Amino acid sequence: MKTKRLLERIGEVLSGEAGKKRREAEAVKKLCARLRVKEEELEQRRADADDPEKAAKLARKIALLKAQREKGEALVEEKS
Amino acid sequence: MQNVKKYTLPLAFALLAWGFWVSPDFKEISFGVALFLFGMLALENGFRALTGGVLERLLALTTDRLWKCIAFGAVSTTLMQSSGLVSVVTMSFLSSNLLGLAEGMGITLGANIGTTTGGWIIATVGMKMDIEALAMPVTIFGVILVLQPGKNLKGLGNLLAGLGFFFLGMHHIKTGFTDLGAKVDMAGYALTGFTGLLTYVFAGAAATVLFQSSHASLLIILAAASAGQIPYSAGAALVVGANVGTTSTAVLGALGANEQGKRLAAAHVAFNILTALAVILLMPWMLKFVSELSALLGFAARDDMLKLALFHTVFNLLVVAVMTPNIGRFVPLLERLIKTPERQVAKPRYLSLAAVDFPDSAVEAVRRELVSMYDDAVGIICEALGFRREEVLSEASLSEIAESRAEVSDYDIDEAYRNRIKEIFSAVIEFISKATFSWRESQSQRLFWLRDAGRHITEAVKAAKHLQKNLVQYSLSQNKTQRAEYLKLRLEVVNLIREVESFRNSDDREMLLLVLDNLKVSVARLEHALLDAVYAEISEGTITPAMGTSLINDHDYANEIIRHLVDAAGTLFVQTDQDMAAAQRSMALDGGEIKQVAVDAGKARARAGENEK
Repeated sequence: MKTKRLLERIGEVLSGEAGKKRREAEAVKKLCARLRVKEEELEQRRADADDPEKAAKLARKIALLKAQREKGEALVEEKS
Repeated sequence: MQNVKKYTLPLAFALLAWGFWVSPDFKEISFGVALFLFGMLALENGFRALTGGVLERLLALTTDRLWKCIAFGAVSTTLMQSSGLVSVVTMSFLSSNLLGLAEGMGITLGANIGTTTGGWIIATVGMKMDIEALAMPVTIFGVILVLQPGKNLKGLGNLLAGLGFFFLGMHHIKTGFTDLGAKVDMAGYALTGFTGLLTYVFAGAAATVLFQSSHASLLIILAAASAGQIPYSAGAALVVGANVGTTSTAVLGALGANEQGKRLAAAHVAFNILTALAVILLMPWMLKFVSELSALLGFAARDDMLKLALFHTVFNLLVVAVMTPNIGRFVPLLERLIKTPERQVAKPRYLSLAAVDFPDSAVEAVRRELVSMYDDAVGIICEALGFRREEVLSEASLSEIAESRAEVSDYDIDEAYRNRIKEIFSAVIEFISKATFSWRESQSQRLFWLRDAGRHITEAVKAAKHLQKNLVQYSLSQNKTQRAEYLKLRLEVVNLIREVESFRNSDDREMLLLVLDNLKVSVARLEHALLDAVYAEISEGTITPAMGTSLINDHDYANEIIRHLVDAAGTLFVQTDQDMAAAQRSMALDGGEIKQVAVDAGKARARAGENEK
């Protein structure tokens, strides 16, 4: 069983599949981190905004970033 | 002309057959040439299979400095013993605008130097060693490998077999000339004087054009010199002619290229001819200089082969030395002589035959063509909505423009779609189908998304076609509310087009696929707001239910335009690597998720509004 798994893994490595999956997962993690930073930045700006229209616009952007980040984190969870 | 082409091959065969019958030595020499040319072809196939994109990647790294371009041309031609392949890659990159004209000229000059190493190989290994002994086993191993499955083994086989045939060809040409020399002293018939010089130059050029290989003509010249069949001066003139004839490969390659490829071919011809003319005028001094240099290098005085190889090198170094500082002058001159043709809207700009030879340049050509198609599509959509593209992409107030131009003109969007969008997209699909190599997985993926972007662009224009029908009618409606709603619709679309353009040139291009979700949320919110407004207007009686239905349908078309343009923009303008792009695609929200975000944002806003009250 171990040998079979080892051979499968070697196959993945030789065909490049293992590397591709790992790279994709790392790219998603990197993006999630960037989105989190952006989210926090916009939250700060929303808290400081005195114009309700501007605050509402920022709230929409934050909601979008949050939805994208959560989707990304769910994908990473699924792949690991 | 067709008749001439039809009879050329049978005539050539007949002449050759007669030559074989009359002279066994001619047969031997021709056999050697055939083996040699076949070997060159196999070598080229082998390099193409084994390097698999390495050449293009190396080329991409060398385009920032002229000296790097010259070095790339010299080294790659030396390693592959073929300036043809380097020339094809360069032409391909040039046609896709991945390389500038000056850099292309640098590579061509470098290839000129690299090509001279062939003469040294022939003059040393080819003519002085028993290459037949080496060539036979190499050819056998090569052919066995060619018959194996697997691209790499076949590629290696082609390389080895190519080398084997290369050397076998040399051996037979050498033997043929040696045997001929024993029977006929051709040196006695050598032409002299300026007429003789020009005749030999012409003969060298003609032979190289015929063989499409300067290596083949150089081999014959050196073999003839080695057998004492031609004097050193005649050999030198033949070498000059071969250098001129070699430009025919670039000229033939330029036939399928765009104006940049043609300019490069013209530059190559100009470089070699101008230097050849100078050398012809200075021939006695050149011959003396090379003779003295060869003595300094320790070559035997009667070794015409090495002297000719040295002459070939000195001549090409002269080409590079004289032309390199003048490249800057050549570029504007060539751009004036070979102008970029007036843009025929229905013809593709970047999909030249030269660009289809290599995967990376082919993918880039497709991307650029689709970017151009996207710009055209935006122009068509703006016209259909009663705006000009320049107005939408400027800072001008679109509501003021719309109010001053309330009536939407009956722009022939059908014709624009047929001539400028459908034609180009068909050309893109045809171009992709012409590729004869197999794509790497990453290139196949990229092409898939690019084709998808092309589809989105065509769908955006088709949606605009549907929208325009009602716009033309209802922009003149007697009902004030309906007119106002359609005006609002026009403005929504062009404002969103303007936003897409702003993202295109922003710093967010690396994460463009995710950033563009913002626009999709805006579209979803506007849709929500419209539905509320339409229901309110119907219940107030300001519009009829039929008008309301038209508005909702037309709003769907407007949403389609924006969604398709956004999806196309995400693929065409994102600037990031494949893994990041794939990650963004997996994280970008789908239709349902976008609507949810829009609804949640709307609710949050309503709550905030209530709290304020």
